Amino acid sequence: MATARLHRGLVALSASAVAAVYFAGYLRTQSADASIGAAAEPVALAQSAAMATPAPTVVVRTQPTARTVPAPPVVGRSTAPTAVPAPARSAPAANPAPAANAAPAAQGAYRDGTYTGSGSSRRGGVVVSLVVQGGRIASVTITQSTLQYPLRDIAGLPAQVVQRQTAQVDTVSRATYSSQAFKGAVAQALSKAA
Amino acid sequence: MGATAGLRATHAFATVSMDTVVNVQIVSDQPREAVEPAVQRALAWFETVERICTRFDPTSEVMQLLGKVGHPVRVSTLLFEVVAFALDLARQTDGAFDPTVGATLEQMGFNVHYRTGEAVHSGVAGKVSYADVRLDRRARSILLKRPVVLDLNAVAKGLAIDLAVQELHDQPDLCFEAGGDLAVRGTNASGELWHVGIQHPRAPGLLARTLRVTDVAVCTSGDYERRSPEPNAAGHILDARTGQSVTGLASVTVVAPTAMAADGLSTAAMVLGRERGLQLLEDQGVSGLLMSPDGTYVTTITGFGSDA
Repeated sequence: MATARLHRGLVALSASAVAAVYFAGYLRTQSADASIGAAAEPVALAQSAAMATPAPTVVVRTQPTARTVPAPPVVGRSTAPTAVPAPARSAPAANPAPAANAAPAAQGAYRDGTYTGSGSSRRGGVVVSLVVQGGRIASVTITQSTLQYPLRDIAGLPAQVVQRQTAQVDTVSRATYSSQAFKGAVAQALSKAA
Repeated sequence: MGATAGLRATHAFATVSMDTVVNVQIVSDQPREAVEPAVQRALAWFETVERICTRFDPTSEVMQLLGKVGHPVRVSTLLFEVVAFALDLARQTDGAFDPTVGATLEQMGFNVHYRTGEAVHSGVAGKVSYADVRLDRRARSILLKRPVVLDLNAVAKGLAIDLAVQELHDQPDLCFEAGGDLAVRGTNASGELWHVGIQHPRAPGLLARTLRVTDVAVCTSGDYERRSPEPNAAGHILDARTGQSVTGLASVTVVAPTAMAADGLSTAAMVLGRERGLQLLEDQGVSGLLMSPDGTYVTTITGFGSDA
């Protein structure tokens, strides 16, 4: 290549780029920059289960094994059930749920606690951690995945579970297997909470 | 390290950012609570980089450029530096690596925001290249000559890792890993160099190599991770000149002083293929391991000389 002289320096260029960004103090000034939106929210930190026993070797490029799908906005805001845009659940007590594992018939239908469940498909499985508070599903987190597809395909499903209070969520088009594994995992976790 | 070595513990933190799992290990004789604030600040850089550089959010700074095609836009230092580096990389690979493939990736199905699950449709189409993006360093501005969706994934995550470990400058011993790209410093809890396993691209769970390294970044680009949800399951790394997924190599691992360089160069080498990719890494003075789909590999002269 004729540009050999230019080749010198991508490492140096990257180092000066990092320094420039860091010392621009972006984090400190960002709130003044209205065009960029809200300041960073605090990051939810989880103690990594995989790391509880320090692994001797850090493996590069494994499939993600512990991914927390960011909590849906409804969690923790004590959104009233009536705020749920639910075609199927506007009258929970009177509405016989179509699904086997069934939306709760009334508040307190699930026992409070944290439950895990796993679900599988022909293309791998997921493990979820499901938290019930006040009888309602408060959050769902995908804690492990052996799916062959990126979890972002089903990133919207945990929020749907919280909204609808049931494992019967939409199957994401083109992510049929991932959706199936996820629903199975939620159903299993809910069966423990019933 | 020192007299307190016996008290050192590994504090592990995990979160999700930039569509990947971020794992932080801090080896320290301090309690976890003493370490956590710095880790929070480090992870905040990930949020910042993502918010500015993501093409999955029409309100991100990079996507806002689309509203001002034909005009120079003054941008944040962060966006300017990321784009400048991506364009340097494009120039030095004669356009094989090209950050303007965003719209093409979108059309291939790489268009779903991992947080919201929503698909993005920028409406951008047509043949573009990095020559359609012009920078002015003095004005710190970016000019899109025509509508371009910039895909900065190949360098943004590396930058985020570099910024995060810079934020953790008080910690002498750490490993900061995000989706297989990582930076290590000092030693592990046993006082040894960090052991970094490189996954075999065709045998999940099997390691192709184990490196013992410190004070470096190690990044791997592979054809085996993000695949399009489309039936033909194309990979996410494109040769910009053809618009096709690359097929010559299964994975490239680069060891470099910064994650930004290692991340960008591993992606660029994937696109260039075995011979020209190796040449690029040699020219840049970084170490690399280039694995072909048949399991054979080549390495740069330094850094990967023997199996460990």
